[in-house]
Amino acid sequence: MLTIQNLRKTFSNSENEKFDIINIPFFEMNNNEQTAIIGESGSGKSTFLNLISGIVSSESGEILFNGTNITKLTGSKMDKFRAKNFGYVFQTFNLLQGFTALENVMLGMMFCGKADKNRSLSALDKVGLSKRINNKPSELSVGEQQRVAVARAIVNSPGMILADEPTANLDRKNSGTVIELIKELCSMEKIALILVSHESDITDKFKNKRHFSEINIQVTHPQN
Amino acid sequence: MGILRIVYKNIKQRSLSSLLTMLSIMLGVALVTAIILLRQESEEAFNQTAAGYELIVGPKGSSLQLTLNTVYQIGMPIQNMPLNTYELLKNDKRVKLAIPYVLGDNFKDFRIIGTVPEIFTEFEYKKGINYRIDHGKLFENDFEAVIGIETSKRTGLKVGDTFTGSHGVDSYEGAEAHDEFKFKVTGILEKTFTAADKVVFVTMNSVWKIHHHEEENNKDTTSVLKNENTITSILLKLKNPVYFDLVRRQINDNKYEGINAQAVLPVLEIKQLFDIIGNINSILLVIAYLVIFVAVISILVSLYNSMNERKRDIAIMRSLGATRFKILKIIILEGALISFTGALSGILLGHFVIFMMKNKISELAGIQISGTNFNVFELYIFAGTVLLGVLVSMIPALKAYKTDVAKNLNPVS
Repeated sequence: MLTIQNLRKTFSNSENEKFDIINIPFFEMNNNEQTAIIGESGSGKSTFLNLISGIVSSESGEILFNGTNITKLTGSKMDKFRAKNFGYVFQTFNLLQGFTALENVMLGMMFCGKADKNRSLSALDKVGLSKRINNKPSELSVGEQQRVAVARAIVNSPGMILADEPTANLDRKNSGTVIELIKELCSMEKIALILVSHESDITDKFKNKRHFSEINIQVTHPQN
Repeated sequence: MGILRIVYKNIKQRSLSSLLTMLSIMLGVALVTAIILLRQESEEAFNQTAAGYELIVGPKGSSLQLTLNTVYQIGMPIQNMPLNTYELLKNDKRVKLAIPYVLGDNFKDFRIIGTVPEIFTEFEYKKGINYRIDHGKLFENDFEAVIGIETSKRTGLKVGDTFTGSHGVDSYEGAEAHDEFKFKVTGILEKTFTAADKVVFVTMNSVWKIHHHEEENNKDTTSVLKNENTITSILLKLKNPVYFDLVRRQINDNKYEGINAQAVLPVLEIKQLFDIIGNINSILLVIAYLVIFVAVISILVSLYNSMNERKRDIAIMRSLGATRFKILKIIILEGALISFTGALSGILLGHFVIFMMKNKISELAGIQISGTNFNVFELYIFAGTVLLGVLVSMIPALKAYKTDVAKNLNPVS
């Protein structure tokens, strides 16, 4: 389903020196697989997810997702591909504050076609928020906000969910609930999952667990 | 949920700023609309009134003064002229109708006009429309009066009431009251939306009698009405339009039976007057356009300033699959919707203001303005404002277009 080969991404520092932040020789995931990746803050985990979803572009290498080389997609083609194939769950939930829970979920659908209200309601029901559909994020608890974000991520039935530190802003109880919810929904909906976290007690909940340093061989010296 | 819902939500989220921007556009457009409407409708109304008066004959002097004084009862009369001017014209075979006006007195600022009954029976102040009596009947004898509807409303005079006039066409402090001569109201005219609504019509003889009485008593040494019967002006309708130029030229060139007078075409005079007013109008319009322009620029300022706080929202939408073009479209639509709402409500407000002022304008200028007539120019103003709104929105939209998604997605990376 997902195959990454020789993927490199560089960043420049203030002296305009270039550093490799991502250097992944090979990474592979199968359909419906759930993988947790642990790594320190600033190790490039978010950039890794952003590369997979095409939010940032790589300098070299290829990312094959269901046979499509994402690195070759540009502009609106990439945006549409992302909308259709990836669901995102962020550390800070990233809900639009002026929109209700239902509207935030529907927003996840409208960029890849028609926003279906019934499907959005069903997604909110799956995360246990069927009675909070008209509440705005500010009226929801942090745990509820993250559940809205999960509903938004699954509503399109994407091929893969990318969860970027989804529990970093939650307490222990809510963290456990959200992780279980994401895992369960991905299994139920047959959606692959990559979850990145710096907390081992989160990644320990997954059978398939990898350290980011095993995947990403960082080059620390300046590039010429 | 569609893109317009997002646009609406974004505007709602910045409701105060959006509302103020929309209000400033609304006021600018309302100002332009009101100026256009006033100009268009007042010009039409003045022309319509003037059209009832084919030709006006009066003493030599300012032709505009003669027109304004005779048709709209504005300003002072030029002078008076001998009665035989009227008699000569009345008996001219080319003349269909001649109505004399004699001015001299007023009742509480409402001018008393001495005239003949034909003004009610034969004179058409608009095509096919005569003055009609609403209450009472026409005057039959001297010192009987038919008053306009506004005169009745504002003075409280009713049919059967009596009143005395004061010297002068407009009231002034120390004006002498003609207490010896009482007028009796016999009729009140229907509303005409012309100056006739604000006058008092009496027989010519009534006016002459008062003034001869004054002269005999040596009380009035300044009166323009000396010992003979004189008139102020004559409304003239000719049997055939081909006589227009001929009669006019004869009078103006002093070749008409030796009378010393001028003949003017009111429609022409009003056109010239509006040409002068038009220049002032243009200046007002330029100011109003500037108001709209500044208001539309406030869309740019408001949207551009909001871009920094909206970077994250834009990044979230991009991460959900919104294309750059869709983000561009959302921001432009926001500007378009604000300018659309502002322009539309401005046009409606402009019409509403004129509509609410129509009675006051009718009272002040004696013309009928509806405020409900739409001008094609308003469509241009509307389209122009929306287009300008779209154009200025492109600047913040381009900023949104360039938003770095990864950088703005998470406050903590």
